[in-house]
Amino acid sequence: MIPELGHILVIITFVISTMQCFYWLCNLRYTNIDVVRVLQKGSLINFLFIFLSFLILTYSFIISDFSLLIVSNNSHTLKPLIYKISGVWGNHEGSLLLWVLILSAFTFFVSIKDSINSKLLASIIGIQTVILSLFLAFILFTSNPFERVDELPLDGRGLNPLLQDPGLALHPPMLYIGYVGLSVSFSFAVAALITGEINKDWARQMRPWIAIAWSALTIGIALGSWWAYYELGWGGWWFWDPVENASFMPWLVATALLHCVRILEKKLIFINWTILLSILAFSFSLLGTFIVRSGLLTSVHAFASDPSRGVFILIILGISIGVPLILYTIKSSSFNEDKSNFDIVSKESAILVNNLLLTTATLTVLIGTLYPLFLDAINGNKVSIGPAYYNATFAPIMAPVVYLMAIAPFLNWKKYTDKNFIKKIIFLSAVTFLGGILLYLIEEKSIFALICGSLSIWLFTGVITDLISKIRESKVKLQNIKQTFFFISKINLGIHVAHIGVAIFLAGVTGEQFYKSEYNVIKKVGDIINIGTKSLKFDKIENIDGPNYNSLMATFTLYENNKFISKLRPEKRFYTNEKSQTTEAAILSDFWGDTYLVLGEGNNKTGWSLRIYSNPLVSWIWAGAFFMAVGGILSVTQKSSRFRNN
Amino acid sequence: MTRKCKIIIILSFLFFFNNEPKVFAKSIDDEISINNRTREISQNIRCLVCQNQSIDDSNSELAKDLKILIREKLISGVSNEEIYGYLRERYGDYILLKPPLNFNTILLWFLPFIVLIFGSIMIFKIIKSHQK
Repeated sequence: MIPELGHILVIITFVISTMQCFYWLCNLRYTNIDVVRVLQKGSLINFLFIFLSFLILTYSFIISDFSLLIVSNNSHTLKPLIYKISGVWGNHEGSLLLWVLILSAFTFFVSIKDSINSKLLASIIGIQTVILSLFLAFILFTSNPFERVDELPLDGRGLNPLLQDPGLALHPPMLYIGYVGLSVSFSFAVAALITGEINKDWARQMRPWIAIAWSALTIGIALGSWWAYYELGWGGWWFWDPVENASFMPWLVATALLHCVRILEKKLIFINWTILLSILAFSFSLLGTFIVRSGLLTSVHAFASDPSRGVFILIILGISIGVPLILYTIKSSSFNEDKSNFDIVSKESAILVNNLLLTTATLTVLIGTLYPLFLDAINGNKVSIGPAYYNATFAPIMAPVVYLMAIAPFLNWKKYTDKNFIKKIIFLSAVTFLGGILLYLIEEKSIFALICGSLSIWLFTGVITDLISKIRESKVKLQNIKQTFFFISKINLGIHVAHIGVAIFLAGVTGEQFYKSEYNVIKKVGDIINIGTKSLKFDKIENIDGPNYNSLMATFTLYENNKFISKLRPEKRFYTNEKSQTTEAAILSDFWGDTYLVLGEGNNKTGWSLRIYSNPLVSWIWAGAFFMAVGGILSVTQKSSRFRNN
Repeated sequence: MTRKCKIIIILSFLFFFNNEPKVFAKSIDDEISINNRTREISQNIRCLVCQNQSIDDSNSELAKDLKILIREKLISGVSNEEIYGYLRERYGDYILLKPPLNFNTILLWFLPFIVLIFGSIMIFKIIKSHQK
């Protein structure tokens, strides 16, 4: 009975949101505050109903109600509570309901922003609701999470053991907040096309939403990468897998948008480009969601196995991308831009170059992701596109981005006046040169290692230099919280934090990519493995029972210079219910790097095959992403343009 | 089953499933260079039975066999290019994670840079149009 209530709530929300869409469209010409009030109420109801429905689904998972198809397919009574809950979005139907929940939440939170003028706000809510209705229809007609089974099974089939992991429990919600958050800027853009009005306030109102979405997306991607690193047991953190690319493309476009919108806050130029980017960012989110959800790329067959689902996906993509793009071609020339000049060496130019490089980089990833699919469709030839392709195309496009990232913040808007600009660049070059030499002396690696490491040093020095000069200029006293906030927004601390994040990330990449070492050995219990100054002693290997798995766990003791450091316990887990095996690497992380130990095949007679990686600075990769996300959130507080104008 | 039969079966099992390299390089330096080259090539070869993994990452039987094959070929003095060519002939372009430049992949390799060049010209024009 309770699941049916959840289903009915989804149906009611679908009806309400569809009615809301028509209400909005009928009142398009005479929107006033009353229309907005109605739409606001509708959004609140949609949000509450979907939330309730989602709670009901979660409840069904918690009590293991196997009469529900997705519960019996994805859950099991023995599963720990947290994975029962995360199992809700560990499958197609449930994750779509989560998508819709986040969309309705974003719609509600943007709908109560009364500071947006009512004409624009009505259209924003309207467009959000159109997307909501499309997705609710998709859920109801092809992917109903509340479907019952014909015959009640004794127990569930369990969740894929690889997904039973705290990192991956949080990864989809964060990713979806990022994807769906970009719908808000999308709606802002389409609403501007519909109303034909755009001003600086439009850009100011929109930017916080992009920043929030971008930060969540950053965390989501980082969690996924972190999970791949410790769970898959290959020691890598990014594989240029289509599914990874699917989340990376909207991130790249959102990064471009986040920078581009700052110009529009100052003056009305590049309006069309900003609108186009807003539309593209969300289009890539949709594409990303569907690439993952439909299995379009990892397996072409999963997509075709349910043709109705595939067709529906194409319809939603067509409407949500096609209609705005048609509107764009018709309306985009009607906006009046300011007649504004800026010097060649100015923030405006730098942001334009940033946008060019980031969009080209996105295109590269897009081509790399979809090319095999298209080639196969056109002439049946199969190609594989691996990291080597991206190293040859994506990396050289992104290197100048990092190069500019360090110096662009030195520049002023509009005019090239800063006499210290050249001095700062000379200082940066000197530090980077010394850093590069140091890097070369530590261990001679390839030229790419040198470039990557030097870029990190260059950026780090650049951000610190900029921060110091901004603090000197700001002259704000830090005595209470209010002044601290004022200070943070005045010097745009978010930018510094995010850019430092990129520098940290790059340092991590340099360490992991170029300075890591790997050892493959076969050892017996009692043996000692020497790796540089460290040594590993193989203590024992034993069988241990977990809550829903059996584990073969080896115990090692790590010594450095004969001093005890830590115990390492790599495992092989066999999930009896799901009949699959996972490798749990033992990872010892510290500030300077990881020792990563994987237990392979073997037996006590001939010994066990072991893989040991030493990954310098690898945790900096995710620490960097964390800094970026924090920077994004901090930038929400930034209202620099208003301070400077007043 | 006769004793002879059993021995043959066991021997054939040993022959097919013994993954230890049978050939060894001459010196330690050679050994290290062969190992590095094996890894370098392995990273660019797709594991055909896995989901988007290189044979370097993969633990599948096919990947193991291919790694041994590459190693043995390297020891017998074959160049990297010849190995890529050999694998390509046997399994098709699909096995190469770094797609070769040919008619099928012209767009793949050049489109990003064409877009970059045209984009740069556009950006240059835009910036110029905003000068006094």
